[in-house]
Amino acid sequence: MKSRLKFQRLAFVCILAAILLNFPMISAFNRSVFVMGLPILYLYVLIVMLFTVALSTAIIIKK
Amino acid sequence: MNIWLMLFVTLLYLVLLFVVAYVAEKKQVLSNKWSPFIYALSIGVYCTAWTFYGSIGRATISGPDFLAIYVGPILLMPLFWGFYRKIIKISKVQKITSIADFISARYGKNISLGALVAIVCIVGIIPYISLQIKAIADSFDILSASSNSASSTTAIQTWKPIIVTIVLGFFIMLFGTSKIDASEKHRGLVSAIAFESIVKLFAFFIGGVFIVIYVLNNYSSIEIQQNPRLQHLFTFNSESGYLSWFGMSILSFTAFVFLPRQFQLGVIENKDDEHLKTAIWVFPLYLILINLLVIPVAVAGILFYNGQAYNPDYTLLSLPGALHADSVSMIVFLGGFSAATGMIIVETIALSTMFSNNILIPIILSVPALKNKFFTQVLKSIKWIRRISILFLLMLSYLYFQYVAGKYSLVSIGLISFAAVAQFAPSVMFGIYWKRANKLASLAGIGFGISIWFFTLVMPTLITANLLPSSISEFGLFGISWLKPNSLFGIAISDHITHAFFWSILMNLIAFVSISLFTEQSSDEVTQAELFVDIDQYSSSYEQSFIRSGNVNIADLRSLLASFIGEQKSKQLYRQYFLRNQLEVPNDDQKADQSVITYTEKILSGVIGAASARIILQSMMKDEVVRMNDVVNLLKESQQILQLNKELSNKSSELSKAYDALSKANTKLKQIDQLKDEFLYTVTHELRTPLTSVRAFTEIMHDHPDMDETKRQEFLKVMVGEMERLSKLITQVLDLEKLESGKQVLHLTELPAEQLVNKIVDAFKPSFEKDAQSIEVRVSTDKTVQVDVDLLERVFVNIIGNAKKYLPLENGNVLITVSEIEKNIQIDIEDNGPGIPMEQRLNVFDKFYQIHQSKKNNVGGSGLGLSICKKIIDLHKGQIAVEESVWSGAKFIIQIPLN
Repeated sequence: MKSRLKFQRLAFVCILAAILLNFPMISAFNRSVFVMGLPILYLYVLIVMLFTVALSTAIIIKK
Repeated sequence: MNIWLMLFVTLLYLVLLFVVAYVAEKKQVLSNKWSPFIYALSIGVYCTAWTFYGSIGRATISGPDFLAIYVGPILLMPLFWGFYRKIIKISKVQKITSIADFISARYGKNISLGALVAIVCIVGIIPYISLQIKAIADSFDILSASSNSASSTTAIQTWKPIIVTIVLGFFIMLFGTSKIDASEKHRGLVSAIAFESIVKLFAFFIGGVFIVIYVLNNYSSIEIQQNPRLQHLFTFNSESGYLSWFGMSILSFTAFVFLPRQFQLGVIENKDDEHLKTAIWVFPLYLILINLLVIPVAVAGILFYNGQAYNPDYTLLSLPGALHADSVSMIVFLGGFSAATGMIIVETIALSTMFSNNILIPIILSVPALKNKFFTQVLKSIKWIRRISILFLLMLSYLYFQYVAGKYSLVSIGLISFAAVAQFAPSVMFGIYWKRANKLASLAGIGFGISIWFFTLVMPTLITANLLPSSISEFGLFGISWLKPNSLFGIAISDHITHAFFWSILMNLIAFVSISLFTEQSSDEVTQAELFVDIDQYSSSYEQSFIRSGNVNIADLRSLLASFIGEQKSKQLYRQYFLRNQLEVPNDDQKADQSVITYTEKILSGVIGAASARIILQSMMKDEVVRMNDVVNLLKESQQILQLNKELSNKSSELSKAYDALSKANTKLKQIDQLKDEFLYTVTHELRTPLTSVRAFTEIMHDHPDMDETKRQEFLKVMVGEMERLSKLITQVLDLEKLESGKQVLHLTELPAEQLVNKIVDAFKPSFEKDAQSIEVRVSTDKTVQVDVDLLERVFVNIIGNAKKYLPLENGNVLITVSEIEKNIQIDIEDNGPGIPMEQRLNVFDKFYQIHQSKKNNVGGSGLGLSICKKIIDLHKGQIAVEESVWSGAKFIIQIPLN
């Protein structure tokens, strides 16, 4: 039962990340803007990736 | 740079790699806590020369979409724990040796399916391997040309790729064929690949940081951010950019699971599925790190070459060369070399396992002459089959490189391979979750998918290489206009990879699902489907959950296994098996039971693959056909037993609850029974006393007929009194029974409280006056009450009657007060008699109390009067209690609610 919930949470993270990293969400950052000298598109993708990894690691490791 | 020096360093690197592998295999250098990290780094084989060099090329030309093939695996990470772990578990239990073995095992250990998957892998991956050879050759050229390389001879230039291929071939043979059991873990190989992952990341950083410092630092950030030639690097250029981004991320998502090298390291070499917990964050971080400097290097390349023609794929290598930083170039070259060799080594090992287990060995086993030769020298044959496979595959890759690959960029070839292995997705994903998925569906799905893949992706490359006429792409196959490789069915999708991926997977899925729904499975397929989908139920009892029929004795089985893995090891394995399952070691001529046969097949599968192992055992046992129903029933049976167990334990907990309730009820019943006994005892006792005295007097009168009249009258008077007492007692017992059993119905009438009391007092007055005693009523309320007048009168008669009995002969006094207290009518009846001692006040309402406790003072009461009073008051929902009166007599307090 508990592991089922874990899988559901992980599937949710996967779907969420897939939505965030695709059209149309990603088009919001598709512009020539630089934050701290870095292109905003890459910054956005990087943050979403790190967020996905951190969240799924937390879900898996949590007892 | 001197080409001999380069060759020497390259060779030195290969030796180092071999040493790492050798040491890791033989000795445990690092403690076990590092093995999850080694596992995670070894999956980094995903990053090939295509990542190392090609990402920069793709970024230079089309901007952000180089990242898509890393987004896919990162999106997969959350599903690692469920989906990927299930694949690992199944592979461990079934001793799977490759992706072809996995698919063939799932669909009834079918040979043709295994062969089809192996062929798809080989056809799909060969270009990818040749891409790595191309990267090594190109980087060699660039490095040697970057300085005054007069010493380089053209002979070496021409022969270099083939030399590299052959050297690598020998190297891989040393690595990959040292162990016969392909499902066994190759710790040395895994460590070497993890080492290569570190080398390529390190080299990329050295090259990247060098370029950032020495090239990029010469330009201001405004210059970079506003340079029109750089804008396409920072954003997607159009709507089609999103589409290809989406397509490529899904493509890489599936490829990451099904690429033979990923399957080899991620699934087969996985020692413990707990390692996934580490891999889930280490691997994505690795991907992010290795891509961090891609855009800066691409920007530097564009700025540095400033419009001159250059090959953007090798910016990382050519920029340090142009700046004469030879050592940096050399490190970058080694990084690229490690990325390429890592891929070639693992991919070739995985493909050669498939090629030998799923194609060559089944062919050998089907030809009697070859089969006999094979069995005389099994160990040697298998080793040689593997070695020949490795060389064959590398030669194919080399030829592809020589004649086709030279004309394409790194990335486009890699994506073609991705699209090929993506065709396994429906067969594997449905296969591990859907029991109906069947063999025919898988064959058709992969067949359709790969045909469309070939038509839409491979044909165009052959046309470009002038191996096929260009009319096909202009007018369609056979001149049919909707059969054009780049707009199938007349639907044009701008990105040709997305186009091919969409059509091939769509056709694959339609064929797969429809055939699964409309055709039936054979018994072998049903068994394997059960074992794959419900792996958690069977993982600990795999051998027992299998069913087959057929005869073979233990000795035959053992000698069969011995010819594959050696006499000693097979003996040891059987001994362990019997020990582990707590079975008696059977005699040699005894028939082997099903579990032993399954165990043997499993061990054999690890060596030659599931399908071949099945053929060998079947030919040995002259397998009878197992009826479909038997298989299903047996498998279902174990599940039903589990279900029954669960139901039983539910029932037993229900029963124990019921038992508790029953035992409580029983205790209560026992108490009541005891009370009843006591009551009966007391009642009969009470009945006996008057009866005894009546009998005694009757006997006296009987024995003395001449008794004088006065005495007789006296006796008769006593007897009548006793009889009255007797009948009174019986009436009271009957009343009490009626009240206790709840049969008594209240006949309520409403009347003023005063009237209720006065009626009784009036009845008593004459007898009080006769004995010179007084009875007085004080009423301070005009409220009415709803009571059963007859019953309540009995209460008053009882209490007042009792009081009168105990009153002193002189100045006996009874005072009745009627008042209203807190929505109750309270009636106090006080007297100046002897009173009731404190300790007895609580008990006076118990049955027979008075008689029990104070026999001496018995004034003729039955001991039931007050308990009847209490019952009546209870029926009126009122209360009754006793206290000490102001004259230190008894004071009975009765409260009756007003409503």
